[in-house]
Amino acid sequence: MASVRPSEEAVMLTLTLNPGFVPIMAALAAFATPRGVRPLIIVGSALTALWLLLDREFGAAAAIAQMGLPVVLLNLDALNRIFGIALIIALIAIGIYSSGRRNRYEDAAILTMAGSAIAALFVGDLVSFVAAASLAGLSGAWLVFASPLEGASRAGARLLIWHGLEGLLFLVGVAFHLSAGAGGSVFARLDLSTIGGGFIFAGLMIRVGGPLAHVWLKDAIAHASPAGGGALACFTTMLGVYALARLFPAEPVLVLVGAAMTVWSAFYAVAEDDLRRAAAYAMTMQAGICVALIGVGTPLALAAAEGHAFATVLGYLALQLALGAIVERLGHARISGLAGAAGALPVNCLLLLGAGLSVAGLPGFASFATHAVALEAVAEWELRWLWALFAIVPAIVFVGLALRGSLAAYAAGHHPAQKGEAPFGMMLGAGLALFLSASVGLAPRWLYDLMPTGLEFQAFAPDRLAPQAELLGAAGVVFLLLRPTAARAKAAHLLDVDALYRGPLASAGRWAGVLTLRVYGAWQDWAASLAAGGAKRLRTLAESCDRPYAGSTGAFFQLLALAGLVIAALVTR
Amino acid sequence: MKPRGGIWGMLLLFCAAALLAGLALDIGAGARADFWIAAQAGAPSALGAGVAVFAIVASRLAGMAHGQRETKRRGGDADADA
Repeated sequence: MASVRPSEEAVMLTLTLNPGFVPIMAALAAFATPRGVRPLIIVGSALTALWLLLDREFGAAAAIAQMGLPVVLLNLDALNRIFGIALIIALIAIGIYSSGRRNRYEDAAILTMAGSAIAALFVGDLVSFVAAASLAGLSGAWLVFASPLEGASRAGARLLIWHGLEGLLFLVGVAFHLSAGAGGSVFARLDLSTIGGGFIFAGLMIRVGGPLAHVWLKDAIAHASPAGGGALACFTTMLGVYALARLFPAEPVLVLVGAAMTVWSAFYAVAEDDLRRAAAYAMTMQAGICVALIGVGTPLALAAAEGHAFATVLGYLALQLALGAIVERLGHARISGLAGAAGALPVNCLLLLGAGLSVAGLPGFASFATHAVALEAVAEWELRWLWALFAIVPAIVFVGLALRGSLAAYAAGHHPAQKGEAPFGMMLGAGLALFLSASVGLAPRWLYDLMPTGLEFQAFAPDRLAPQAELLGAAGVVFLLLRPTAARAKAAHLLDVDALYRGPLASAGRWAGVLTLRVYGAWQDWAASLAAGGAKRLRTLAESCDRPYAGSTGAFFQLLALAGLVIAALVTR
Repeated sequence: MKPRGGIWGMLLLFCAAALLAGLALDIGAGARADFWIAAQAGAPSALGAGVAVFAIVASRLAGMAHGQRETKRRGGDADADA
């Protein structure tokens, strides 16, 4: 983006580029390049974006005015920097992962989605944010459409509807906000009590996976390809978390929203048969923690939310990529059908175990380091119920994902499709994400220094290590002892709120549509018969006028009436 | 599917070791958070045990409520009902 300073005699051009634009431009190149070059394009664009990000000082780039509105395409500060680094690192891992399969449309969709999500982080006005977020949503739907799995097209259509609704809410909100004046487009704190703020908040509730709107994430990830699942995990809900942190910090209702997200998703995280869906629900729980922390709104809570979002991106990227590799080889990632997978895919299952431990907050991984800060942030304000909810989340994820997945994968069994391990690129991408999560976990000071608030925090203090070890250890021991080892895992298909609009509501809609068509058809038939009857009568009348003296009774009365008119005219004359 | 032994044993050993280490630090060295129930010895263990029971109950409930809907073993779309 070129900015011009007209006040100076010598026009100077400074080139500023939103880091997110690089992957978007690379998406165009991805269409025209062979398979072997596309991963290099993805990784190269991510590295270029990272360089653009780290090479710039905090502050806004030169804004331009479009139709009287300020358009700020680049506004860097500590808040969006930490999110940007997380998403760009995720794109590097996905780029390496993508070398293990061939799908140019999916590569382009991943680049577009990643680029638009990253771009949305760094823009400085509402209009640009809505445009970038909408492009990210559309790209997400495209990503699901490009999936080779069965049912992907319908899942993509459902995702398109959700993001379309989200975009509509954003547009209405921005329109109301702009009606307050051109300055209203600044990407800063909004007031939830205003109409514009309310609509934008509603749109963000969809984006972040708020209560009742959380179903799109698990639906999309379950139908996405292996690489698509990882991309959807990173570049969707966390953009909503960032926007909430930017636009609605310390909004009290967010505490309840985040708690509801965590509570609702907990059941599905431990009971869902499809591990990709279970992981999506677990990620909604983590997003709920971030949302609740944003609602608390203290500097420590906001720093905890940002750090936890960073750790969630890395951890769940590793998990979804590991699950994706299993899907690549076995066709699914269901617990009920994983027996014997470890024999066929030893390295992949090891990565699955490692990723499960990573997202469960095992000390030594990034999630532990940020979860400890989250607990500290809510304890600071004596929010006991919220503290208790946060405290049990690692145990829920440990049991639901790490233990259940590992027990199923390492159970005795035989898989007929002995294709061997997933492609090396996939294992390398998943391993890289896991390695990064462990790197940050072992040296969290690096992450703490990135946060807007200077954080002096000892994650490995004994009074933080011991409770986490007790929590995970006790949960594991009790679960392993109580779990019915003799019973076969059932392929239970859990219903969520989307069963309402995909079941009864969809049937009601189809019934209403059929009824409407029938009523319309009946009305058309009636109107046609009425018109035909009227036309027939008119034709008969016209024919009778042609031969008025044909001897019919009507003709006599016509002559009589005509004679009466003539006589009346003569008399009155 | 009988995971006893093998991975089951290793996971049990791992979890037991973590639990014992945590309890040792908690009870022996007093290493615990100074907030609400966390200030009591063994409180995180109780929370963890409760979560495990919740997980077992949730799995049972899911199996009872939805177990009759067998997931068709196809490519991946188990919920295409719309």
